[in-house]
Amino acid sequence: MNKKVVVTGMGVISPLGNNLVDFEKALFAGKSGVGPITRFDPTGLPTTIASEVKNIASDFRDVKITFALLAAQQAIFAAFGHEMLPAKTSSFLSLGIGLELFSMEDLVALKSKGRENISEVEDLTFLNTPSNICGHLISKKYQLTHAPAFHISACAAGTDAIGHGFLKIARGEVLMALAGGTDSMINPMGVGGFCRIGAMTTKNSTPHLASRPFDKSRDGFVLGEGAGFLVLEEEEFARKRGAKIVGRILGYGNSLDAYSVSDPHPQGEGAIKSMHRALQSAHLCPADISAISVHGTGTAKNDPAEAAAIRTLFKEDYKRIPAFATKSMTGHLISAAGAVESIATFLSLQRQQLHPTINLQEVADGCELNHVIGKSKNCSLKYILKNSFGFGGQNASLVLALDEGPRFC
Amino acid sequence: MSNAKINIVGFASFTQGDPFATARQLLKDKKLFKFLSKQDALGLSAAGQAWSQAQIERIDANYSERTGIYLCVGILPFEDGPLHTLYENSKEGDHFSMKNFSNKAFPAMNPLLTFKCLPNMPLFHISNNFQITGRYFMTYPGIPEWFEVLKRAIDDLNEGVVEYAIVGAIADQQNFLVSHHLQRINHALAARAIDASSVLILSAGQKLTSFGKIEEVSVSYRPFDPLGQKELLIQSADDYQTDSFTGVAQASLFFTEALARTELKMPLRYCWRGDEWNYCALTVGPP
Repeated sequence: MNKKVVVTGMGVISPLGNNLVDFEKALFAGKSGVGPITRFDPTGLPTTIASEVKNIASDFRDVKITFALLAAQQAIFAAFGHEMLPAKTSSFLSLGIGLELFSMEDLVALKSKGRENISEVEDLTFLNTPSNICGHLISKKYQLTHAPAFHISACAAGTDAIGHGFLKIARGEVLMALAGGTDSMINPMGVGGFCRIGAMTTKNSTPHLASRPFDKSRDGFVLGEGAGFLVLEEEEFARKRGAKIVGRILGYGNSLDAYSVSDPHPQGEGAIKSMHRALQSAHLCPADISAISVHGTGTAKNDPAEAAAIRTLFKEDYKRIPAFATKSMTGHLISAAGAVESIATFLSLQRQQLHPTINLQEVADGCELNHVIGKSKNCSLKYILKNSFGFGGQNASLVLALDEGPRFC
Repeated sequence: MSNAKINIVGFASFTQGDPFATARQLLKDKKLFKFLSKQDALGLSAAGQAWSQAQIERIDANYSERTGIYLCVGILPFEDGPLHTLYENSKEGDHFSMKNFSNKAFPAMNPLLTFKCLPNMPLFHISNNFQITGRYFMTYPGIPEWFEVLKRAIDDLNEGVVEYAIVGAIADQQNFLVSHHLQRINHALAARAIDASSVLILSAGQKLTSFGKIEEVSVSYRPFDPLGQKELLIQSADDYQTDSFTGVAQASLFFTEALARTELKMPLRYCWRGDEWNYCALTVGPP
């Protein structure tokens, strides 16, 4: 790998806002995007709150497709000033994406009437728009030259998508990658499934206080939705065309826990490996890191495992290096989480300021880190480590950096 | 792709029989059996046989961190039984009732269903069973995407990021959702769809017995309208027509089945051609 990778554009559709300006404003003001579920009537389910995207009219019944198209459009426009890439730029889409929309309405219609008796069968959501269609729509719109890559590594998918884009540019295969993630599981099957395994909060009466990573009174994650994209470019290509550089991607690593079907390794062994591999890929050591954008879901087992992994890898430096959890405000965007949180990280680098982990009032036993509590904090930031850990033991980490001028190899 | 010389050191497929029975035998932690979906069982069955053939554990005790898993699954499967229970408990007349879903379907939902619906679970079961903690790439849902995992595995091997790579394709197609999807696009293909999985184990080193060397991987893509050209999303190779439609597993199966023959003519070449501009090809030469 000898090519340098820079970020030249970002786009976001999130519970905190549907463009970068609104997202940034809410993020650094410490606002929560969580509220009662409006996408369907959740009465009777243990969890009735979520972190929804507001004010978007979807062209698709599967809203994550609309989210992706809009976020991609923002990112491309930010990078190129219009909705086109320079002609014949070798490029591809790297997309973290969730499951197909499992529509209960479609299931009942199909089973009740039989496929042959439903005139609207072509319009049924059931796999009429499988998630990969989203990727081909984006590739077609921007005439991307290489086949799209889809990442389905659950909560690590967005970060893996950015990492895969980074690798393809660093290895010289393409000059540009549109990398990110999109997801929405705020539907009866999505919410019901997570409730059934006890993974979600039930603090329904206080939605804005419900997402509480690392807090003693946390009781599960808040489901979110949205999309985020970054335009990654080979540095020389970007600078030659006069692109405005947002920041750099210096390293990427991932790992497998091989431990438990539902729980992370309690000492975070897999997380340590992914962070270590990302640092190795960036040619950095733990002491070089300015801050950590944690996975921080607010679940009983994930938070102490991640904190333990950070303490082990960073040794005494963990007391110095601030850690911040974007999910405290956005909720858990599942396959989009890593992408939207990477955007939050680049905004932090640009502002030299970290947003707070909101709702963190009393740090739980085992969750001790140098948390950013209360309000945004001004810091000197050069390299930030971004973590994402998936259900089933997939761990992914990125090293994101401030741009400090040309660094061609 | 770089001028790779990657060895195939293990291969196996699963197209017939009960994948749960095979997976149960392979599972080192029998308690995990209840978490297995058919997709997981198909993946574990092929991976277990290929892993055993490669004999990596015998010659390299420190394989764990230096092995990567690169998987491609088909679109979301969903078994008929749980689906019917959901339907029965959620309907009111011919229509979906959220009230019934909350009061009847939700309490009746087996928590294990959540685990069985997750497409990334084959990655967990394979990694856990063989204690693999290296890199991964998990994607879906067709043959071009299998080529993407293959290319990533080869690049990781060439770069020394991993020493061994498990490259798999899993097609769980005999279920309500996938059957519905295939019928809508190509009825004839839907009728021939079977469950299948196939795994190749690759290595850049020379320590293991090689059954073939990867000589060339080529992929060509031109963006297309996926809503207007849905046929392209079902992908099938023109030059590999068989009685059965094996979906995403087809490319890998071509090699695992060919390598298993006693009379083998090298090089082996598989080409998937979606249309004039969208195609993928892999050539495997003699060891």
